[in-house]
Amino acid sequence: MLIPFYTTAQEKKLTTYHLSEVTISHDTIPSENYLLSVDDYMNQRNDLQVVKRGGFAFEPIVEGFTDGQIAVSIDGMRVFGACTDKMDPATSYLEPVNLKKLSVLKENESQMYGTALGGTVMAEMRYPDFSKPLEVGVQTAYSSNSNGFDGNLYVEKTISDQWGIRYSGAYRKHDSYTDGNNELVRYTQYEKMNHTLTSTYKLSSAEKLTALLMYDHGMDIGYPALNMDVSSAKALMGNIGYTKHYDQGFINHLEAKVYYNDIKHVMDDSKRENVAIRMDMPGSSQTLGAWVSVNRKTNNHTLTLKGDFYSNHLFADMTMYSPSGGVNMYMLTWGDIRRNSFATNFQDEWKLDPRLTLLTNVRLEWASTNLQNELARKQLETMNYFIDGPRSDLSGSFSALFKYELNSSIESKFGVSYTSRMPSASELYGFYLFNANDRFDYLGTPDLKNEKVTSFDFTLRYHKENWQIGARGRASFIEDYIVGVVDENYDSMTSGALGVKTYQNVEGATSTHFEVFAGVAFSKQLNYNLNLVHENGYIDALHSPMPYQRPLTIKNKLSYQLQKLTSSFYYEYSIGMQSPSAALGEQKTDPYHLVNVDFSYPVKLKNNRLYLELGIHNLLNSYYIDPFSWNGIPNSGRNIKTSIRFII
Amino acid sequence: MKNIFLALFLSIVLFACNEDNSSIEPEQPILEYAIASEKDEANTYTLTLRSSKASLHEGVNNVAFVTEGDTLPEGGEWKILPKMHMQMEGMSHMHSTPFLGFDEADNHASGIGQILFLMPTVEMGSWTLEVSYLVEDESIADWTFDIQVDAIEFLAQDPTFKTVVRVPMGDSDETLIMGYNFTAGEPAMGRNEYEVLAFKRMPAMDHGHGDGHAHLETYMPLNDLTIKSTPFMPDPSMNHGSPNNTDPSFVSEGKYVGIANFTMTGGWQIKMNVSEGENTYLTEEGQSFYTEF
Repeated sequence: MLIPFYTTAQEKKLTTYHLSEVTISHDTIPSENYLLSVDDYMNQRNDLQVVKRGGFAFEPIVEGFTDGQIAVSIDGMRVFGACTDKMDPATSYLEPVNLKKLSVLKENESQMYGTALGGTVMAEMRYPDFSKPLEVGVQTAYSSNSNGFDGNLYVEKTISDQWGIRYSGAYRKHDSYTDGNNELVRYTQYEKMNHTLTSTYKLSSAEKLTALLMYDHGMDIGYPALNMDVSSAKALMGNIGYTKHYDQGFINHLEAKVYYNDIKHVMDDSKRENVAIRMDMPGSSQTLGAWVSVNRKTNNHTLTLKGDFYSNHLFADMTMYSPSGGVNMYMLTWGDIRRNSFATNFQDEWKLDPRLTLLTNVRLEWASTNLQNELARKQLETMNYFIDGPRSDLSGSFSALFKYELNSSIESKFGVSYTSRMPSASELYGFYLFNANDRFDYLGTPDLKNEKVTSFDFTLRYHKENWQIGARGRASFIEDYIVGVVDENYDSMTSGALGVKTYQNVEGATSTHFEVFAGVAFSKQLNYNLNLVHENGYIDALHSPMPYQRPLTIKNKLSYQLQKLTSSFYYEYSIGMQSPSAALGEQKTDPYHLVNVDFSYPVKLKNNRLYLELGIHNLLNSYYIDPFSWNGIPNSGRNIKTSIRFII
Repeated sequence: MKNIFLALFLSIVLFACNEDNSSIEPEQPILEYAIASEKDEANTYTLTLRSSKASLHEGVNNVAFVTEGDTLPEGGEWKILPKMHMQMEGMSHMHSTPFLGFDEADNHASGIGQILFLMPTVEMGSWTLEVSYLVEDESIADWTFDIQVDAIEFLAQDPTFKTVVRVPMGDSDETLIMGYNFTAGEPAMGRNEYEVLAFKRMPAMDHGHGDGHAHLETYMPLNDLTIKSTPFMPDPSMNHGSPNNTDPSFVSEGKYVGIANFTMTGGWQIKMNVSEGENTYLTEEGQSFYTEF
């Protein structure tokens, strides 16, 4: 039995329950969740928000911090989407069937994977665990609302005591869904497949090699909030890892990995009607990287030192086909942007007292970013920026977190952090990137300064044997906040755009996050969890709320086990977006109630397991718009999902 | 103070030779493309017409005349006369066209100049270039080039999109003639320096009939124009301009230089508002320069 009482990844060590000799982390993805898409999975979490532009490829948001301000790590790899319009967050190339964990790391822990203001979304892939000679799982599901098929398969084979392999594959195909008013929401269809092969080879009892190869292909993906869809989004990722544990010696653990990933993303509008102009907008992203991490434990210290490197290359262009028979138009939106980054990270967990622990983390990152394409440089000359070489940036963070246990029932944490992040590729060199949310074309600014955040974090948690209650708050003060500012000197390029914004550093932005969490296990069969979140943010220079601040949202989950039938009842209430960042395209949204129910029933077979599952999501068929949904695209109405899961 | 009027009466310009007799290296031609070569009438000297582009075209052309083989005597002058010979309904007409430059002439070459062809070669009209080299007003050699001037055709069909702008100057019979030349040769994405050549066309008294030079029209370089420019994409799906442009300003006899920023490839207008003192000759709603790349 699991009572997931978590609020942040930092609390994992404190809040992971050890029941029936099984340790399960909140972030662990069980096989019953394989049918969920990663989007659904992220959407359900309390510690993560998502931006929706349609029915697929939700963009993760961590406490109001978004792309460029958070890092995404997939199996230790830095992965950067290949779409200038953020249609392909790195998480869109994942499938739960190939994931072991999806964690949201904040403050101290997040810095291990990138210099991030808001946190890190970290996906750990599933590798063979040598627990069985052979395990095979097959799962299929049908979704009534979108006439959707989801299927996945995994095979995990222990070839020898040293060597194991695991293959997992998934295929999904969904038509456009209908909303709570039973209206078809056009262009919400998608199709994708994923193949992942992982392998572990034990060199000794303390030493192993791992390898990953993953191919993901999304097709015919609609984005109703945008002017364009995606005909193809392909990702190829691979890595080789090495791990060694030392029983004796100066260090206790060593881990290293080299990796490469290649993403190709093709936007097009061939299925749209009445467009002002037909366009092709392909983009690509390649990242090569490596890192090594060593860990040393002493009586009072757990020290971790990590060095990492990555080299990322981004390219995107745009061809516009003249509707009047004139000459076609072409421009570069990401003109061969190359970023080489070197970082070192040091973390210490210092047990000052049996009840007091201090976690400190220092990260230093140096990066060279260059606009390599001569044509793209000439484009920027039209903005009076003359690029003749790479720019160098020094960024990093420092954080300290005190964890204090007042007694066996009360825990508290207080943390402070300072993070300086370098501007993203789009913020520096993006060229007329259309933002369909605020309907402005965005231009990069090559001389942007780093964005800096000072954050204070406080958590108080009271827990007894079978219940807990707690609260967490964070306040962030941002200097040189990077945001698009309207520039009247430029004409918009996109038909229908309201104007042009250039990325600028502005002073005086603040954001706060507050949440209350509680949970109780009434019995072995019945437990209940509650999470309440409210966020707020303001950009002084724009006299505007900060975007992506979660309005008051309450999530409740009641789980009940009746003999073999497992059921869960989920209820979410949000007051809707009442203080939208209108300057940045957000709209007011109405309050909503959302109810989901899920049932799972195992059928006993001789040597195998068969599960029959039924889920009714949005049971009340509520018409609602997610507060972060672009352009007021409504969410899916009632959906009945049936599935069969078979495990050998 | 206005520049001194330099009448291009009969469109004939004489250029003093440069005393510097340094030869032009054949390996590094003054301009890349050889358009045509002709022997003089006495079959002594060979002259080659060179251009910065593979062919001559309607609008501004960067050209030079370069001798091959035997060397002309020093201290001479070059005389250049472009002529359009037209036959219409049994009548013959003759016109000329304006040009500038050819400043760095010597006994090997005319130096680089710019000829603004007002129209292309057509079925009823053909172009010749008459070139003479004179020493103390005595002709040493005369050449005649029959040349092909290509029309520039655009995918965009708009009668106001021009490579050569021609608008009446007030109520007079005079016409403002303007052409453009991108300094780098061709327009491209990014920052483009471009020249505007501006002339006043004064009609010939007999409208060019007959065969006498004295009856051709006259082109006078205009040096006091104020030109406001707006690069613009007229495609209905675009309909936008570009930032940080610089209006053309006077740099030399009949020549103005500006900066046009093209943010993408495609069809671009350079809309202009052209005035001279109180007189406005052209507004942005009228004819404009146009290019596609």
